[in-house]
Amino acid sequence: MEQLLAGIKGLGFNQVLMFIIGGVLIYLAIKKDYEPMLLLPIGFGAILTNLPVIPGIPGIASDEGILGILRNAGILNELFPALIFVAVGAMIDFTPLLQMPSMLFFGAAAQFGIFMTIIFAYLLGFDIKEAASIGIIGAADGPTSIFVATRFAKHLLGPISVAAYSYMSLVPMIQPVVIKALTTKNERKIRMEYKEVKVSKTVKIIFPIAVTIIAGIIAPMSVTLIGFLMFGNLIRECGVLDRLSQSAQNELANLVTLLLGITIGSTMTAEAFINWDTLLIMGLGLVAFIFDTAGGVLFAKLLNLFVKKKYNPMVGAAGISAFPMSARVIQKLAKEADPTNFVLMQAVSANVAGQIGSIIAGSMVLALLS
Amino acid sequence: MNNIFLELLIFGMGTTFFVLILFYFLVKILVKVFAEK
Repeated sequence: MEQLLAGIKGLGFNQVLMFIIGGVLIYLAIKKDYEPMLLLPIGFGAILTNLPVIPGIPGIASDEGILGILRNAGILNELFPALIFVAVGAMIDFTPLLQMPSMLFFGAAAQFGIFMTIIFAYLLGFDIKEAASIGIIGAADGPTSIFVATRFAKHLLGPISVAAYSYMSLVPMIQPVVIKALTTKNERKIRMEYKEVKVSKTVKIIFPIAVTIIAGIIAPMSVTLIGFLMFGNLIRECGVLDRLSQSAQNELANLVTLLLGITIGSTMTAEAFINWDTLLIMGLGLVAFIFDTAGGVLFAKLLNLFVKKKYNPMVGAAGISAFPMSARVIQKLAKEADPTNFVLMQAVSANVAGQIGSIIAGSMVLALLS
Repeated sequence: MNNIFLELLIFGMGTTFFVLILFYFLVKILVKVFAEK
């Protein structure tokens, strides 16, 4: 009888609160379509993890439980984020970036939020490595956030992942407010010339290889992420590995995403999640996205002081890594200001540059603080 | 500790810009050398 009641007796208020938080994540995923592929498994993983444990029997999220095994095998050794990057690389078409390489600058400028958030987080009392992990939410790139948090602040992995994926899905709400605050309607109306430049297959094949070598030499910490991203892209572009490319884009992406989500959920124990730090991290995540957007917009405005062919400053905001959502938001805003303006290709190009920029910035943080 | 902030801002942002500027020139050169015929 005692054993049968152990579950009910072991249930505390904080666990019930975690069921509600898990339920909210599942609700946001299903009803609001906020990154459902990640938020639903994370929410369910959080519920599983906080179910009462019967003394003497390993809990599902303990090291001997199935979620614990997945956590040790896939998250704590960085395997899942790296595999996700193979899939992302196979999905990305770098052609718009190769046609408009100047958009790479925005991919760097829009990482400003990472560094500002690190400073804010430190001033709020986090130690420098925790602050760095929180700042990387500004990479607007889930796997990079998980990668850095795993190295620097494993105990904050749950709230950081939830913040990163939540704000990525909130880009359509965050970016327009910041962009409108920093630009005039006339600036948002700026048209950008688009030239259809033909990019040869040779360039598409050499690009991922050369990027890996250059990044590997200058920022060796980036090798895991940039190397796997570019490996996925090489599979896509080589033209002789269609089956592998399709597998990376579909089976690998789906399987790893599924396991990644539920395993992150397993880090959301009540003790680790229900505290003041989680609230601060959620707030700082928003700060990171705001400063990222501002960094891109203001850098475009700065460039406009020196160039003849003006950039639409909104395109700078697409330099964050939330792909392709940010590019779509920018095009929508451009259309709002001038229904005949079309900046989607430039925004996509900046958005792809943001993917590379966020990995490099994340690697630099790792290198500087390791 | 302020030095860490400065290092992060200057070296972090600086190197990110530097690497992406290198990629900019890499793309320019690749597209020119291996132009579509």
